[in-house]
Amino acid sequence: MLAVYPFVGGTATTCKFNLKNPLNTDAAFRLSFVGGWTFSNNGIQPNGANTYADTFLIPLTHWTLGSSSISAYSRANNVDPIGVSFGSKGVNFSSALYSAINATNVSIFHNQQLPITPAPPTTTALNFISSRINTTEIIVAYNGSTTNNASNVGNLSPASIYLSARNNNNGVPDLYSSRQLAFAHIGTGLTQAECTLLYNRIQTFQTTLGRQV
Amino acid sequence: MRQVAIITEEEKDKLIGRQFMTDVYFNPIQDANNNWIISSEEIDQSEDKEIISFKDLRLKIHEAKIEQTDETPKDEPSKDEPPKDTTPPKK
Repeated sequence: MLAVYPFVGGTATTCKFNLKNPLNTDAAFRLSFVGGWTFSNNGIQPNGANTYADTFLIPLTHWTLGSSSISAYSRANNVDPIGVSFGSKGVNFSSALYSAINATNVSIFHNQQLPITPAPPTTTALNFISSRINTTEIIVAYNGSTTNNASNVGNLSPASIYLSARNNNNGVPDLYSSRQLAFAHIGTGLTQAECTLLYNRIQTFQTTLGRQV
Repeated sequence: MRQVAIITEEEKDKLIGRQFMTDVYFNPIQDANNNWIISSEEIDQSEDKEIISFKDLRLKIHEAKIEQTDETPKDEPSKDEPPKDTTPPKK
């Protein structure tokens, strides 16, 4: 794990820290919230119009082509055909990192040119994990259910990862999401077993706080 | 529906880089008509009501710029795309 965001405390100041390194610095991947966010004990609520959170974590710097993972715990079951819960992309799509998920379509980019399109989940209120443990496969996890998907890796994005939007070509946010988030992480690659284990621990954490979906 | 308010370019310049509450920054963006706008959440939660004249702002439904969700990326050719036929047409 490089960054873990539990989103507790109900304010921007309490939600911005990376649990792995809780320093108030960009280098520690402390979040910078931008736009019309609202905060509550249920997590962080973007508005789908102009909100994003900069993690300052750059795939090209901190990931390797064959080992990376990212997750987001969405509390919202909604259509939101455009928004993404995390995103980064360089000039070309070969470095794209984001997942557009709704009831009818799923497009997942995890450092590759063309998206993988697994079957959509039954709800968008879920913990979603995208993980690469090598250069030819992406593991996708909807809650504790995992699938292995063939996908050749492209490049790593030089743009820092945004939450609740995509950092398109280094500093241009787009694909704004309106889904409330209650957890997110960024790290090295996770196996299918590790994805399930991570989900179980996240869900236990959310249940303890009474905000599980 | 997402509600936003149109601001002037001068107001946009005043808000960029400023926090509207602790640890959250204003983010003026342009809408589909290239108007500068801020969200209703920024207006409602702003701790400094004097930065710009919030009371004169009128809320409207947000008209977002069209965004590309990229089922098929537009800035690079698909690897699955068949090669172009360069054979001259038969007479």
